[in-house]
Amino acid sequence: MIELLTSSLRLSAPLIFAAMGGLLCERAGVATICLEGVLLISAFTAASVDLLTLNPIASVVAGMFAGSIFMGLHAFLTQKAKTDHIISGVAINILAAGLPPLLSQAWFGSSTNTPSVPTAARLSAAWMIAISLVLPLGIHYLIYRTRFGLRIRSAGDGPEALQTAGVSVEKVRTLALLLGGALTSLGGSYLSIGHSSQFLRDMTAGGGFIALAAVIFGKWRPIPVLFASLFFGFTEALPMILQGISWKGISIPVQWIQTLPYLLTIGILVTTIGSARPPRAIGSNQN
Amino acid sequence: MNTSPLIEFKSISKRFGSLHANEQVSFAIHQHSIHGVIGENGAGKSTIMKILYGLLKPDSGEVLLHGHSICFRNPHEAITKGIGMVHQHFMLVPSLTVWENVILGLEPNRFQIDRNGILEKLTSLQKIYGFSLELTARIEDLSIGEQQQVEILKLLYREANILILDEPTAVLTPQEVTLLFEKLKTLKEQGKTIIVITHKLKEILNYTNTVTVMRGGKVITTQETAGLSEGLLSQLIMGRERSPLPKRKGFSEDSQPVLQLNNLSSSSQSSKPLKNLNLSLYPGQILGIAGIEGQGQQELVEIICQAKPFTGSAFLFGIPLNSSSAYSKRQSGFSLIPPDRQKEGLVLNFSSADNFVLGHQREKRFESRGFLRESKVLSFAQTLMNRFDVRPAEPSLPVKALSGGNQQKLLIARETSSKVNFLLACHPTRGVDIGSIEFIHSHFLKLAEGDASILLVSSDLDELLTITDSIAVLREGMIVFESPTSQISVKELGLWMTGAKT
Repeated sequence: MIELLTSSLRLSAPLIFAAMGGLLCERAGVATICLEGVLLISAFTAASVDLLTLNPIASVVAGMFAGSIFMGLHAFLTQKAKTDHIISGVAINILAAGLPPLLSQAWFGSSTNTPSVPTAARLSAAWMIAISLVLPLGIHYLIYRTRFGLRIRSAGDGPEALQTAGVSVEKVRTLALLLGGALTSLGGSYLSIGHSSQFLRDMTAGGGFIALAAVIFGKWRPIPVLFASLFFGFTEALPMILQGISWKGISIPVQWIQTLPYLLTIGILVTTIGSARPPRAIGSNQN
Repeated sequence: MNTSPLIEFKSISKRFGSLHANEQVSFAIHQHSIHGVIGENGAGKSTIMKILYGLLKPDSGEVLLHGHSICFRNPHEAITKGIGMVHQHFMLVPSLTVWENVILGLEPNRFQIDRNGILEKLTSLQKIYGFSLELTARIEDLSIGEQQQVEILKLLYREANILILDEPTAVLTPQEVTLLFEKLKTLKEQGKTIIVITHKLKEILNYTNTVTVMRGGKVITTQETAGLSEGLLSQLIMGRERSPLPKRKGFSEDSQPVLQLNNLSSSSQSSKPLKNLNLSLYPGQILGIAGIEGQGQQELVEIICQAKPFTGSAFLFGIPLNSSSAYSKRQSGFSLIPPDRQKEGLVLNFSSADNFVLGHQREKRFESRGFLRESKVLSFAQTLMNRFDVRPAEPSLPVKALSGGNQQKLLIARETSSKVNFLLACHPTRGVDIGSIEFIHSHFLKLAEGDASILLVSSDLDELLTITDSIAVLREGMIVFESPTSQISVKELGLWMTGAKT
């Protein structure tokens, strides 16, 4: 039971970070299917920098920097170049999936993984989990109690009103994306040098998309999104605990159990999506 | 009245391509007054106000404020000089609260927002100007009239002294209009100067101190409102006298009714269910449905055109309403001018030509082997746009580029371009200038002349009294009064509508 709880928290942490980052961007009116790419690139950057410096804090910062650059690219493409948000997001995901293997091959001689970082240079998973549980409170405060939060909500729900009030929608959205990218990257760094000890190709395994599902499931509100992320973490932990379990003498194939999180995700989304209302201007470009 | 003007426009000209939007426009606005700017669609009213507000730059001429020449590069410079504008389409964030919308962009705190301090400040602001909005309510839960008050409060919070309202009453019910102008009067008494752009004669005559009449980009006159009559004002606006409407020939109750409702009641969930409605509409008859908004008009329209569930019996062209499809209704000559033209009547991103084909796309004159015959569609659209005086008459332009009045004319042109036997018209002249109203009314009368029946849902009493044969008053989902139009007075109608008479 305790084991199920701790592994749920362990698996939830990156989802929470990515979901909080995604929530900020989406509340500002930018569709962020590129969370997956940001997770990947930050995971790889953190692992690489850690191998070089053996300093986990510096590595996390580097990971956040890399994630912000990718989100910054999303901001440039959507806000300045007025690209469709989904197309920009897909492009960033493809770039983020292709870049690490290439660099990994060049730097470490293997395209599938980086070498393991020494245990001393690893990030404290416990600390990261603690941060992930407190972060949603901070996001709640930011969104509902601060000037920046008010402007983020306006950018997502009534950009014309924000623009006529004399605030640049592009600027608010860009700032939200940079911050969202940094937060998401906490999740990526945690994956490679906290939860694990190396970067593996495609190690995020759709985590960015699940985080996005958590944002929708939590109706774009920080605390419900936290619980949605915890729920998805739990569904991922469940198969590990259930492995090798048998029912009435018949052992359930492990593949079946492993499909459980995905089935649960689809089931939950199908049953709740009708009542979820996204920010009104999401995906829209100001002209 | 103060002799030196607050704002002075001096020979302002502005061209868009070959179009003279403003030509040598000169007039003055005095402090502490309500100044009306009236004219038909495309007369240049909005252009001159946009120049004042910094949204447009004049080609020549200058604007004086307190005797000093000004030229704002954007609305923010205007607002810092105390000039604010309420746009026709509100600039509010629907999911935010009233107070959040008011402070947006000019928050008193850099980081954490001091909610209580702001609420306190806004409450006292509301007290000064006689507003009573619930500050913590969400915009999406407010009525249109209240949302407009939020827009005005936004300007007051920014300490605007000159308020420009661009067609503020286009979206309001008659009751809300009265309330709005009472508010504006209070504001004037508090020392504000108010400029109202409108094309409604009554508002100018009843509420403004001075008026500027514009036509074709030029100022026709600027004068005190007192002493102007409705006839004189409309002559100034149109540049001609009102043409008399065609005479009604009347209708006969001998033939089979086009629409017959017996004991009709709503059977679906609704805020204003209909109760035991009885109505008959005969060929050539124009029947008006009067009533304060939200008394079941929406429900009635939906039952007739979408066959929402109901009990009782309803026949259109002698066929039970719910046994015929929308397509077959259209085939038998059913036309609809829906209450919300932008949502239900037109596709704003489509060109005018494409909008004309909607609903007619199966007809041989537009379609050949599954393809639209584009040149036919374009020339058809061109003809209709000329006939209905839709401006600019450019069929390939998207409909969203047209003004509200022109969109409405486009819609009416489409709905009445083929044989009409029954026209369901909801607020057909809302937001339309007087020249076009005249056109629409005489067009309706001509349709009725050709034996079309018209069910006219409107909250504009003048309209109902002008063109209908009979009027039924809807209140609380019931028809409380029905009479031939010739035997009703405005006063009586008002009493039935408000429930003072039962």
